[in-house]
This record gives sequence, structure tokens and C-alpha cells, in this order.
Amino acid sequence: MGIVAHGRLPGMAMLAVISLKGGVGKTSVALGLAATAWAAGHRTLVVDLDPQANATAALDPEAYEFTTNDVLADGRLGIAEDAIVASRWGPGIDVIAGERALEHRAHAEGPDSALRLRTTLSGALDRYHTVLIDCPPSLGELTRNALAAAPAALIVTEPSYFALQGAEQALEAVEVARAATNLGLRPAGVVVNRVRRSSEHAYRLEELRRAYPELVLEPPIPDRTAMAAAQGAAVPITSLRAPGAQDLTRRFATLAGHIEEALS
Amino acid sequence: MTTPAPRPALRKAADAHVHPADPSGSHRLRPAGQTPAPPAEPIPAPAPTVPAVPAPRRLSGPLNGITSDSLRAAGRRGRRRADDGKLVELTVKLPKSLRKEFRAALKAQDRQADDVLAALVRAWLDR
Ligand SMILES: Nc1ncnc2c1ncn2[C@@H]1O[C@H](COP(=O)(O)OP(=O)(O)OP(=O)(O)O)[C@@H](O)[C@H]1O
Ligand SMILES: [Mg+2]
Repeated sequence: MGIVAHGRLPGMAMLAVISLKGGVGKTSVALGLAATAWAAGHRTLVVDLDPQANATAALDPEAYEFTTNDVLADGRLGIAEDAIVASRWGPGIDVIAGERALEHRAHAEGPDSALRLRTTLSGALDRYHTVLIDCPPSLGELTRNALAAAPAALIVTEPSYFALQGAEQALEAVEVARAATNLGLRPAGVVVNRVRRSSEHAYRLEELRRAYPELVLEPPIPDRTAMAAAQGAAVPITSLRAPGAQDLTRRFATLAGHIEEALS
Repeated sequence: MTTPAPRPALRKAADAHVHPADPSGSHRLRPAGQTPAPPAEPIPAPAPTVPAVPAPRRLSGPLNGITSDSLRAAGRRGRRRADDGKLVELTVKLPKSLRKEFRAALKAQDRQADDVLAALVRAWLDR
């Protein structure tokens, strides 16, 4: 990836990964893109804004005390730097961990509450090429913080009726956030995840491509057991040799290229 | 020229140890702008396992690893010290900003510097 954003390191990409619907693969796509960027030699940071802290579990940082909850509660300019820890994946990929207590930050707390992440990350990202913010499955204050902090939002969906409704609502949320807190925000596109060989999935995928010809990102990400295997072992998908993992690795690399094109 | 005092490090959020499902933490989930009704009675001290305001911890440094529980154990103002031995003085030098923050926190949490520091030193020795 390589998108110039907010005047940080040239070629830096920063994406808020969102969807209203739960379980569609926000965390999996964020981790897949993080693995791709990292494997390409880009210094990468994952910011876990989900109280479920699944991205943190997968990135498996060694020992950490501070989380995005502490960062948002503190709110000082650049303080997020203190919470950055190394992922056990290897050198060059870091994380700001999530934790259950983040639930306390899920509702507005004062007028600047949606801008806290942006403030606390300010100046803390200079050394990163790629920053991915993994959001919870809601459009509450945590997602609003991500949309105020990132120059682009990546929407993740499954090819199912309910998930497509969630994707539409996420796109609306991007518009609202742009007007309210972040004039530079734009949709990076819609990733269709967990695609299986079924007529229903084929139909929904086509429906989505027709509805948002400019936004649907190719290729879709298929449902592969290697995805869960990588997460369970807390390793990047790019490190697995199984054919399914290699297929996912290739797809994430192509997807990253298309995201870069969409935002350039 | 004097070197600027270091920025105080990040601390655990006050509600970091409150389970989201615990109604005692639900005051944080109030919609913005709504103020709480004043309590009819004094709020009882929180149970030691769920501190409402964990004492500050630094990100790193010689005291790293000391939990807020060890500070909780320091007790409230006026309580008899656990160690009845003779109390002696110890002079230390701190950055001015740290002392200021420490004093403000002591006042806010109604604690004595002697108690907190004794607990910190004890916990550090017992690591
Ligand atoms: N392409 C895929 N192939 C196989 N399994 C997948 C794929 N994408 C996601 N999964 C699995 O689906 C489950 C949900 O995925 P994930 O946690 O990434 O979704 P999410 O949108 O982040 O969920 P939440 O809304 O709870 O944060 C996980 O068990 C994950 O391993
Ligand atoms: Mg998730």
C-alpha cells in the first residue's frame, strides 16, 4: 500500500476498517492487509479499537500494560505513542492493544469525544507506512473516533443480504463522519469477504458490484480454513504454506494494490 | 537553559478494571451532556478488587510492575500504619511536574504521601 495521507510519511496508508454487521471479517481483513504490508517491508501498526480485542489476540504482543481504552481516556496529544507495543509476528509490526474495558468508551463523553483518537495518534505515526484501525461492529463512538482519525475507511461485508444492508449503512456513516469531523475522509472501497461457491453468494456479489461499481474492491476474499488457522496460531497468513493460505496471500496483495489505486 | 520536565506517561484509565457489565461502571455509559443526579448518601468505598480510581502507574521505570492494589493497601488518611516501628525521614528529588501531579492525586484521592510512598517502596522491595 502507499497512500499519501495527512502529510505523514510519504506513501503512508491509514485505514479504518469498519462494518455495522458483526463477524463479517473486519479483523481478518485488517490482519490480512497488515500481513501483506508487513511482508512487503512496510512498517505497520494495527490499532485495536474493538473491546473484543481479536486483532490484539492474533498479533499476540508480548507484554503490554496500556490499551486504546487508556489512550482514549487520557486524550492528550500524541499519548498513543506510550501504548504502542511490538507484535510477536516479528520486527516491524506493532499494535496498540484493545481490551474489554474499551466498552466504556463506546458512548460520547463530551464535545471532543470523537476526536480523541486523532489527537492521541498525532505525531505517533511518523515511522509507519501502514496503519490499520480495527473497529467494533457498531457505528458508535469507537468507530466515530476511527473515522475522525483516518483519511480513508475500508468497508468489509459478506455476500449476504443482511451484510449488504450493513455495508450500505457503513457507507452512510462515512458520509456523516466526513461532514462532522473529517473533511478529508473517503471510502477506500468495499471488500467482500467469506465468499463461497453458492448461487446465493454469486447473486449477492453481482448485486453489490451493480450497486457500487466504483466501490467494490477486487478480488473478493474466499472462505478458507487457513484464515482461522492463521489467527488461531497467531501468525500472519503470509507465513503459511498451505495452498489456501497462499491463495489468500495473493488476494490480499492484489487487494492492497487496488486500495492504493482507489485512493491515489 | 533547563531541560523541560518529561511529559507524564500514560496511565491506566480510571475504569480499566470495571467490567462493562458491572452496573457500578455504567455512569460512564451515560449519554454525553447528561449530568448524574447527586447521590442521596455518601458512596461507600469501592471493594478492593475493583478500584474505581486505580493509583497512577508509570509505563516503565524502576517501579514498573507495581499494581494499583499495592497502593490501595496504603490505606486512607489517619488510618494507623501497619508497621508500628519508628518513622524516619527520607529525602528524595523528583521532577517538579511529577511532584505537582503527585500532590494533586494525593489530594483528589485523600491520601498521605508517606503512606503511598511507603507502600511503593515495600512493593518494590517485595517484587
Ligand atoms: N475469509 C475467511 N475465511 C474463513 N474464515 C473467515 C474468513 N474471514 C473471517 N473468517 C472467520 O470468521 C470469524 C469472524 O471473522 P472476524 O473476527 O474477522 O470478523 P469481524 O467482522 O472482525 O467480527 P466482529 O464484528 O466481531 O469484530 C472468525 O472466526 C474468522 O476466523
Ligand atoms: Mg473484529
